[in-house]
Amino acid sequence: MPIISVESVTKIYNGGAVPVQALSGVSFSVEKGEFLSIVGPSGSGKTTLLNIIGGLDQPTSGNVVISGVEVTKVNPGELIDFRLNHIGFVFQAYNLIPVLTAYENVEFIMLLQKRSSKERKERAEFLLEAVGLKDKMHVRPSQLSGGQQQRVAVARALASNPAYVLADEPTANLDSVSAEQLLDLMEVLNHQHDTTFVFSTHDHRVIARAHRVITLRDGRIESDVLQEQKEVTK
Amino acid sequence: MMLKLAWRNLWRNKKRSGIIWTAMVVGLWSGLFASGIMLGMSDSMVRNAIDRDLGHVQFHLPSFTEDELLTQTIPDAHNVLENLRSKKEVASVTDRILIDAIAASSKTSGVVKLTGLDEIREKEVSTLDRHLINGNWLDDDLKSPAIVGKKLAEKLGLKLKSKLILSFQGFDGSVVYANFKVAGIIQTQSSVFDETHVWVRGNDLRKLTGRDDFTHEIVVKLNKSEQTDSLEKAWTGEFANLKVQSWKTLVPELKLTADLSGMMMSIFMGIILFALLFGVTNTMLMSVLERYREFGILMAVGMKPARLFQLILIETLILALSAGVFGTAFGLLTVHWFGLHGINLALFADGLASFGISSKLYTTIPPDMVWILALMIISTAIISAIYPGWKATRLKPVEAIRSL
Ligand SMILES: Nc1ncnc2c1ncn2[C@@H]1O[C@H](COP(=O)(O)OP(=O)(O)O)[C@@H](O)[C@H]1O
Ligand SMILES: [Mg+2]
Repeated sequence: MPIISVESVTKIYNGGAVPVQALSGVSFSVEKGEFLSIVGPSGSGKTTLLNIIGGLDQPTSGNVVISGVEVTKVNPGELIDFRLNHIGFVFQAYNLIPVLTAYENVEFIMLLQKRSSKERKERAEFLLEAVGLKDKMHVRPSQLSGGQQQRVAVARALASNPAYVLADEPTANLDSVSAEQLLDLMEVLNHQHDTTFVFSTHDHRVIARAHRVITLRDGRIESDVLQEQKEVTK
Repeated sequence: MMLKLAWRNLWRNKKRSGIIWTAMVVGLWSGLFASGIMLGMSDSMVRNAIDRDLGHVQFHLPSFTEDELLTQTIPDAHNVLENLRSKKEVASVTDRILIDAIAASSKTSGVVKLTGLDEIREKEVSTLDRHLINGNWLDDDLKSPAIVGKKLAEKLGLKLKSKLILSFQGFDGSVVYANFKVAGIIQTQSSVFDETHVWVRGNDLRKLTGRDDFTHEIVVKLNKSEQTDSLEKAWTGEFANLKVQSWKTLVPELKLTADLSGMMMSIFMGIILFALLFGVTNTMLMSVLERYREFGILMAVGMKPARLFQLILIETLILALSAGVFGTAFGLLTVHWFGLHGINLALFADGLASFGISSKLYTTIPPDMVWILALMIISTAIISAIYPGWKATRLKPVEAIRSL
């Protein structure tokens, strides 16, 4: 069974003067362990699609099933808990709470999940070590570089043991070296822990790293291809 | 964790938090200080009236309070006096004879309230003797000394040692004429009082009327003025044949003054807190709007709106209550300090004394006011959190995150 299944999803924004059709009849599914990139020019509907498969927004029509749950039918209150326990998020920038340290930012998610302090400590330390920031654990986001902040955001996204991680243009605000490092990290986590990643981008170097690439154009899937990968070495 | 987060969030914009915090502290401090002055003034007016001649509790024959007649004497007054003096709540007791009389000088005459005092005991109960501006108290060596108010002295053209003829109806209905000599002149804060009063020794009046043991009024001064109401009640039962009245019943206007300034203080503090309410709400609202995107991300990753509301509430409570505690503490300390040392009003205005207020003002705040104030501060804090908190919970994560 796929962990994400998108069936003929359409999204029309009615807020403005003219209704905007952001997605029209999008269907695909994602299996556990995929390393999938959603690409397309600006305005093609990437963010809209990620919001919908992240349970942050509802499609105008169509169906989204995540881990067997039809998220379009879950009430808003339960949807928050669903996101907390099933989905990890990495946004473009300013992901972290500025007044909390890297460690506390990661721990915060587990506090919302009401996990024990022992569990929180172990997992937060483990994840920060995994993203290579063990030494920066007790530092606030403002003292971290953009790339380091995004790595903390990845650690936070994984803290809740989610079914998959959604990242909307996670490298958009990074220089190419930091972008590479973030991709390396995500790839390693995907490879070693079988973590599913779905990320959007319009950066060609990032696209090249994805195992599968779905290209959107004007709210429709233009192509959906598997890419040959170089061997990942740790 | 929520506490830690709230606490650190308040330090994010030190200047903004600091300004509203200081405004609250200063607002409460100055409000309390002003209230302390206001209450101190009314307290001083009440105290002056009590000290001048009123005492805390007075005893009369029930019918005396309607017709002040010479014959309305308190039965068995001697025993009542002894009984009251033996009570531990009582500081001192004296008795007075009260007669409507006509005072005449060589020039002219006028209607007065003639009071016959116990010249020794009176000094323990009232401060009448301390209002002498000229001459001596009734323990003067003069034969039949009298003390008159300054205004009356002016009206009748009396000086020290001037002859004063007092006439009033005796027990048998015939008019008694008596010669007195002015021993002293008194000036109180009330010129009406000064124009209508003459004081002589009670025993001189007893000799004149031919009855040696009668009195109309017993005046009690208590050790603790707070016991006034409860003792008035208890003594009403104990002295069933007498009318027992506290200063509050005797001069309702005075009680009204005291009550009114208490109410004024509550309204005054209420207005200050109401203004602060808008300040705190505005500060918190600004801080919420600034963190719109941050809250959007928090809700996206799984924080419930109720939690977010809780966070804003905690932040507001920390801000407002800490300022509340500091402001109130400073205010009360100031009121306490000036309550002990007094504020020398002569420095500011000479005229105040003529309102019945002493030239040294002792600030005061009744203890139960502090609880009302605490309640008012807590509700202000909670109310000011509601709108910003609600605003935070209404945000849509998708929009908040897009609004980069
Ligand atoms: N809240 C909104 N209201 C109206 N139109 C929107 C809204 N959000 C996105 N759109 C429109 O939907 C289309 C897809 O946007 P988006 O999903 O952000 O694309 P991308 O992330 O690929 O740049 C765009 O034309 C955009 O203008
Ligand atoms: Mg986008």
